[in-house]
Amino acid sequence: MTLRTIEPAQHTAARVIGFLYLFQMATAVFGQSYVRDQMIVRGDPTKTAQNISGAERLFRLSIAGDLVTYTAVIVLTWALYVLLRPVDKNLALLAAFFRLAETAVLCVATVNSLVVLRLLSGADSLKTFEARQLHSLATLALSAQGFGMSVGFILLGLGSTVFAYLLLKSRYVPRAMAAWGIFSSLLLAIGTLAILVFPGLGAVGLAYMMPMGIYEVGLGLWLLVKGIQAPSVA
Amino acid sequence: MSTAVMTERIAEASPRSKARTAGFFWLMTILTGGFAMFAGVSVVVSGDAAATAANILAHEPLFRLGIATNLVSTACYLAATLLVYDLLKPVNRNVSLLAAFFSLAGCATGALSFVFQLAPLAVLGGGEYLSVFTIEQRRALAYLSLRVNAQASIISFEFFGLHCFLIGCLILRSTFLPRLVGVLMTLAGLGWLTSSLANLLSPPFARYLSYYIVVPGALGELSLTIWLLLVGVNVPRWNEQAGAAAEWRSHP
Repeated sequence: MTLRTIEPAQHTAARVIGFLYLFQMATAVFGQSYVRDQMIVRGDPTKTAQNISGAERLFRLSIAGDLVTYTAVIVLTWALYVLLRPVDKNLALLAAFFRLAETAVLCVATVNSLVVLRLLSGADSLKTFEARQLHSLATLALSAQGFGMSVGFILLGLGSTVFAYLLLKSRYVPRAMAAWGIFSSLLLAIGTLAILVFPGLGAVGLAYMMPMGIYEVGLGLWLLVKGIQAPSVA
Repeated sequence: MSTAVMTERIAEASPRSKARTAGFFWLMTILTGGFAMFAGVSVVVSGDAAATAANILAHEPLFRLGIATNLVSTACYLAATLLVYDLLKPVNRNVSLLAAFFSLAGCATGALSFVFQLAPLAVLGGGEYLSVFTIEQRRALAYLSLRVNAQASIISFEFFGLHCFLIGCLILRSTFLPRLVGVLMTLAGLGWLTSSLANLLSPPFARYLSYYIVVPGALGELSLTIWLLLVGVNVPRWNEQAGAAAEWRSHP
């Protein structure tokens, strides 16, 4: 089997994946947790609008941060494809397609942040709305962004499931780690879908995403530090 | 023609005709994209939502044609992406694939941003359910949507920038295309990338930059387009590099 020999490109890809899993986690946490979650006040569109207008530069920085994240995800997807192509070319391509679709969806979700900036810009053309109407439209755009991200997360979960399955099959990394990847990716996809259908489930908060976070950081560290090993002859 | 047959035809085509076709599709991308931009921008009266709305309704066929042309432009860019990917595969198939991935992301984002160009038609077209808003409010929403469309397409330029940049790098390392075109393409790509990020961070700074970006951007893309269309690639050298790549892959 060709699987026993690892091409040099695969070793490079493994290190790139390791670095990018950590990098995209850091930029994603900056955009979402550090900036947006701090600015958005639930149930108070006016306070939210004031927070964003008061720190427009930071809000813009989070939009740019999102794009950096998505760019990193594209490179990550590519590196995963290069790493796992020898295992199963077609499945690796399928997984890459899921993740490319994810980045496109997430980019469009981010456009909502541009809508928010425009609504709160104080442009003359918007004077026909009362301030509180603009604030509630801005909050509406922010929640549309949230829904867009949910759609992206479903695609992320599906793509990541397939990649994790290929990792399991390849034995490049410990099998338990790959199995955890399948579990956490499926949980992300199914959990996000379930919350879209039954919003009440949203009460669990981000708990169902934690396994995925652990997987991405864990796999990232592993690949960055240890790289991949040729599977022992079975 | 089925996709399988079409893919086979593309795979079988000689590198020169592939290059010519790629040049044709890239040129179509520029021309249709240019027209779409003209059609989209010509209705906008800066800062005046009422005049903009009146323009859209008065020139609705042109406005719709602009949106349709935008989609044609995206389709042409996808075709050019596939052909250029194939053409540059002998240089480095992995990097060529990454370039194509960036282009796919850019095309998808760009195409979805056209929705914001369609929205004004829905908001201004007199749907009964919209009567709870005043006509001024509807015009303001239509104007907002157009401005957002312009911003959203800027996002796709980040990815197109990365696509052009990688293509430039691949051309620099190729033996079958002129290095100058490679240099111009990397500059074009870096330019799109810079202007895209500058637009998000500080629109006034981006406006200041725009002249310095558009010129190298146009120069890079036009040089590649014209070269591919008129000259194609150096076929013996292309075959040589493709052969070397295949041999290297089978005996790493």
